[in-house]
Amino acid sequence: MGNLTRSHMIETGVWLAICIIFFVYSFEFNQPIEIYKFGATGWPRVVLVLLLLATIGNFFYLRTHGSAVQKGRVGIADEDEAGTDYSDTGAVMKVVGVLGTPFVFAMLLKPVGFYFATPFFIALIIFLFGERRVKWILGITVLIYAMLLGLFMVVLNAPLPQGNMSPFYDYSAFILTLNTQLQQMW
Amino acid sequence: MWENFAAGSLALFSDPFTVAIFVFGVLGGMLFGAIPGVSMLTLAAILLPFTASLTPAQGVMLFAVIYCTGTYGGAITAILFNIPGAPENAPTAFDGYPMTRQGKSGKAVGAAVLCSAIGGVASALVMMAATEPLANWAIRNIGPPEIFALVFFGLAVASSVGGRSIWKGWMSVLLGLIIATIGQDPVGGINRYNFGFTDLAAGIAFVPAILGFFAVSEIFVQAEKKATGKFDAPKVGMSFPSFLEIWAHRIAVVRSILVGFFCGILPGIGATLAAFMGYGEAVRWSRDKEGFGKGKLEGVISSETANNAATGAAMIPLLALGLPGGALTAMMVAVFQMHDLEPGPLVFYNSPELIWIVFAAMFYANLSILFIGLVETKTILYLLKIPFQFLAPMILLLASIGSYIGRGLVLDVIVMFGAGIIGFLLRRSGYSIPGIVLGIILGKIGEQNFAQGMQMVHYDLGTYFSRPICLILIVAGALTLLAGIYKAVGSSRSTASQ
Amino acid sequence: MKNYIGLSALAGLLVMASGTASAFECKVKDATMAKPDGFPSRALTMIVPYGPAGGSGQVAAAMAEAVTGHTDVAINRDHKPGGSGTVGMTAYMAAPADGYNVLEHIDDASSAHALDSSRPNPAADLVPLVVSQVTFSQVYIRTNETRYTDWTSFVKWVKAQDGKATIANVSKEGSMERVTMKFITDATGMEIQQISFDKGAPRYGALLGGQVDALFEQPGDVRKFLDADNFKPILTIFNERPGVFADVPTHKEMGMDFEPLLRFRGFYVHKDAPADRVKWLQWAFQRGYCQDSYQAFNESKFMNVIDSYRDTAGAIDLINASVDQYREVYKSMGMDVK
Repeated sequence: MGNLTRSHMIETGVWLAICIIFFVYSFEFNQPIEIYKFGATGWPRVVLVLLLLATIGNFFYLRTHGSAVQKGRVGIADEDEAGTDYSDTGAVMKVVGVLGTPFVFAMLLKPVGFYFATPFFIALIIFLFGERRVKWILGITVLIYAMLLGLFMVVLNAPLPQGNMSPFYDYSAFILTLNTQLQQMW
Repeated sequence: MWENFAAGSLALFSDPFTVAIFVFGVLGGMLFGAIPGVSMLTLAAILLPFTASLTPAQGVMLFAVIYCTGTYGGAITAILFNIPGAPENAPTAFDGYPMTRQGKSGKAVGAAVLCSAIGGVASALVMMAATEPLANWAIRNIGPPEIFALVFFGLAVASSVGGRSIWKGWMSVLLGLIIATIGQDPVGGINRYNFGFTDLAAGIAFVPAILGFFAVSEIFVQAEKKATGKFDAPKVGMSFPSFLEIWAHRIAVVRSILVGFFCGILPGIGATLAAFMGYGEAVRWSRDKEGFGKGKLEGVISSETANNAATGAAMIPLLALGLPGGALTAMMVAVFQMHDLEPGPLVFYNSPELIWIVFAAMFYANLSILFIGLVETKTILYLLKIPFQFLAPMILLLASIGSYIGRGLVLDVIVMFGAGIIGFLLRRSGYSIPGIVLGIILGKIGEQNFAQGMQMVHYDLGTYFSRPICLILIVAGALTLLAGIYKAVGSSRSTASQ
Repeated sequence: MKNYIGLSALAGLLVMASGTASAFECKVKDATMAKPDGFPSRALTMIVPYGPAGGSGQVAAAMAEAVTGHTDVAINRDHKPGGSGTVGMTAYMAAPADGYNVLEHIDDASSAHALDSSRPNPAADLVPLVVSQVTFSQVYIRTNETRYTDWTSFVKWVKAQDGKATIANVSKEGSMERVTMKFITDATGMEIQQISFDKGAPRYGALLGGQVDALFEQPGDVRKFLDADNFKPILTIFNERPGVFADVPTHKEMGMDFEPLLRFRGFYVHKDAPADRVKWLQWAFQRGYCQDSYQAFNESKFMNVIDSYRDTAGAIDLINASVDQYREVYKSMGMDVK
């Protein structure tokens, strides 16, 4: 198997899965377009075939060269691949926490809204990045929250997600009513 | 031209409120460009409703100034945090960020300041002289087949830089292209790959993708380093490059001005392609090709000169024909329309004073990068000294707002964090993140123009290739791809024979 | 060739001369209305399912300015473009029905409902506050075009090209543009390649630069090109000749017997919103239409060429008629009407 490692096999498997899933799913919208010969599927399918060919090429490259950088390549994000030590479960949990928290925050924006979810998000991220002093966590959370509201809500009136669910939407409404009253003062 | 320029300058500086707006635009563009997580697009999207209360000249001028200084500001975050403020700053990070890690951030930022100013000023001068004739040429000679050919060439160049092997370079670009097909097809409006989610019919926007792949994934990498005890605060270097160091790269500067200007004039692609091609050309002509991507000053110089050289050029199709070249120039159309004006040939006849105030403002904005940029940059370099646990939530939230504001979709925030996770996983596997991003940006433009071109030539490739500009660009792209294949095969053979 | 600045100015003068200064009479008599229980106590959010630069973005901006101008209530526009208006509509339907959230939408909402009845019906699932723009389509060519100069010579030339002539439009499946083009090609027997441009600027650039032979569009969107004498209309798809385009033939005069599909833009609120709030919003938006700033905007977009105003009842009639018409057309086109 040459220089292939298990991670190379997984990597190739993921790319093949992408090609197959997207190709199969393309039958969902495989309807002809009266004014265009190649329809809605022509372009994505050609791209998928090219992606499949490149994946195969990459597989053979990995087999002969492993993870080595091809001669003459430029502009590579040269991250340290093997250097991270994941033997400590605590570290794994922390990384999973940091990766997952923003995603959960984003998913909550529709029902809960920006105004309610944000302070919790700030505090959690500070905590996950290793800060344990409660006063600092609370102080910086309030500071960042106030700065964001000051800039985007009071000064710029940017329409941020208000949430769809009660009582979160009501909280957003309360904050926005305060903003209107504040703006009417001058 | 000079009389008009003098009149525009006088009109700009004779009214204190207009001067205040100019200064606000210069500082705002730089600041939003340089704050990691938000960009000049965020500022522009938020400011759009407020321009209704300004005069048309003030409104358009404000956006033009933000465009110039924001393009420069985006380089700062690319260099300091590996977070390009806009797609056109992506190649700046190739060498800029390694320089920061080597403690040479001051040199990289200094070069960005100087080259952005040089590229921008040169572009502004050509813009003033050539807007009308060049626009008229482009409208007749550049149609969908040429734009597709240019996209093809741009993607071929993009796949040849970044990525540990040519295969990974291509896979990155192709992944971007397939992501760009999510949404509706550009001809019939048929939903593709929405997997049952209505919001996906809107497609994947490039702003959240950029923020996710660059800003968020960088935060994740730092978080991982903190968690595994490998965190190493970036080194702050304050030594700026000497004039001689920049002078040594004068040919790269001139080449990037030409490349930037040519790309910038083309609608829809503009500065991003300019930066990638400026960088790609620098590599092609360099004797030390291997040094690129590892902290080479010339990489920063060529990319930053090219993207600012594109700013003036992008104004040409906008002002002369009403055809915007990118996201920010598209917002300028909205500014015009808010004042009951339409950018286009009539503006030159009906509101010449507006055109020349804008031209003069862009000239001075690029010039001011040189002075204000250096002062502001020194302040921004101190951002690196804020403890990362406090900077991280700020960046994540600004990026969330920055991606949400553009289309008002929570989907964009989800996509951004999703891209952050994918970027976190991919960047250590030797794939090209800028390649993916460029694939996303150009995918839709490429498919749309391919379809339109095919319909125009009635699916006859002979007619397609009989258009000279189209032919040249397709051949250039094909040669770039073939050279990549040749190198890949050659590399395999040499390994096999060892 | 004619100059449309001159023509529209002349039309304006004629209207002024006929004694209807400012060209229309406001149908909402009350200049003020008490706020029901203090509503609204904060800014309204207007969801716009299209970007800020297009026709919807502009009408939303003009209406928001007009309403704020006479009520002093701020309106934050929340643009949610994508999916031909479906993304913004879905987001609006999920937003709380408390009257603080209003929607801008165009006739696409009606055609989407006609094709798939599970999509919201703007006349039944929403309350139309006002329809403030109603317009028709035209076919344009370059003014300096020499291969053809009017509709008759254009049709003759297109037929001679054996399907190779091109026309730029937005031809999404089932869209007003696509359906109307089908009516035209069926009625004339000509075969023409439609090229879809989803953004206005490249669409107009394609005709200007000679990349396509003709353009299908609404007059307000190409006014700058008409005023600059770059484009000229050769066919009006409306039952009568509007005064400003008095010398452009209508489709009926050219022997095409179909009912024209109109483009219309309006403002809506959830049908479950409190009744007193809906009433206040109806007054605010209908009165907003009467504001000078809004009237000036409509005039600049050729939206005063035909009657653009529909109050709630008029809007419901317009939407219902459109839905019925689209549904019939879709069935006759063999499309899968759900």
